[in-house]
Amino acid sequence: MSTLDPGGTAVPLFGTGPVPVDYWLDGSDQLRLLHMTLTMKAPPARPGTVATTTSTTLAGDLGSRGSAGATAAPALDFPIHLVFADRISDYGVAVHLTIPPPSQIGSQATCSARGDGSSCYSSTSHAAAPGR
Amino acid sequence: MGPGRSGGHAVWVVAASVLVAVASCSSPSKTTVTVSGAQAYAATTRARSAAIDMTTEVIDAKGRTSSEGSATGTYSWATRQGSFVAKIGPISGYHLITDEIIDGATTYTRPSATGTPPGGLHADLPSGWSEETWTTPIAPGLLDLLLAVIVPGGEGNTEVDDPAAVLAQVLSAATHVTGLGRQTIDGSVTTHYRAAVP
Repeated sequence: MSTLDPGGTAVPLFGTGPVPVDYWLDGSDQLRLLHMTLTMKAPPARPGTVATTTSTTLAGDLGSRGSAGATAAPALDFPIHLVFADRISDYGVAVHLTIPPPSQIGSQATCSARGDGSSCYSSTSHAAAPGR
Repeated sequence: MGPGRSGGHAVWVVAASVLVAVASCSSPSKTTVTVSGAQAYAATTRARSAAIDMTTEVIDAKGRTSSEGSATGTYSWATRQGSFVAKIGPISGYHLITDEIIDGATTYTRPSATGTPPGGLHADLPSGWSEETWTTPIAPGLLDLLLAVIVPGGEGNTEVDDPAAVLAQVLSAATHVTGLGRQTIDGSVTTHYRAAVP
């Protein structure tokens, strides 16, 4: 991932220490790089369950969407580290958009935020044109 | 998370669990900043647009990288428009790729995949583009903003497709910021800071 190692020490997920967030600002105070590492000590407990193991699979959650996912993914040995980096460059670059035509839109939804969550209501759902 | 982002479920589940815990225990108190989050956000967005490259890795206790995610594209703070390509994987050799177009309050996403799906996932991918229009822009919480680091679009609200906003939010919750000296990033002389977020 990033070639930079800010040397930040991640803290335990359920610990009490602060999470270090490294960032780099240029001479104009513009963000150039944002970097953070988070550590998860144990697998996340699913609703109604208690996490008691120290390894799991990423696709275990995918498995809930399919029949074989839980057995296909590599095991994870905890603790695991999640390393994030945002790099910003080319300030002022032109942004070009190509909005997809209606014939290529398979579903449409209207969404709103409520409290800490959000909800979306499907307004249309139809097959997109083949060969998109 | 919209239907177009369902492919990132595995990484999201892991990351969200971590970030929920981090965000939920945040209690902003004394803040010592050399450059405030507001200052950095204003300076960053004043440029109107930029190229943004976001990456995430999941590394386990044995040093193995089990999954990687990235999102690369351009974004305009001036027009709230952007275009990204997000990639997640490999998950057992399976890669998920999502094209995302942000046009103000409307986002368009189109997932695709390469490799052999780890089980039934491919069938869940929606056909064509998915369009979401947000009617109630929100000031995103820390969790939303941190999630935006992983995949553009985050919770689907275009407000969270912004690393500068992530920084501003993080700094607003930071209890201490330390300057760590000069460093050159992509040819630009920068100052390295470290914030402690409770």
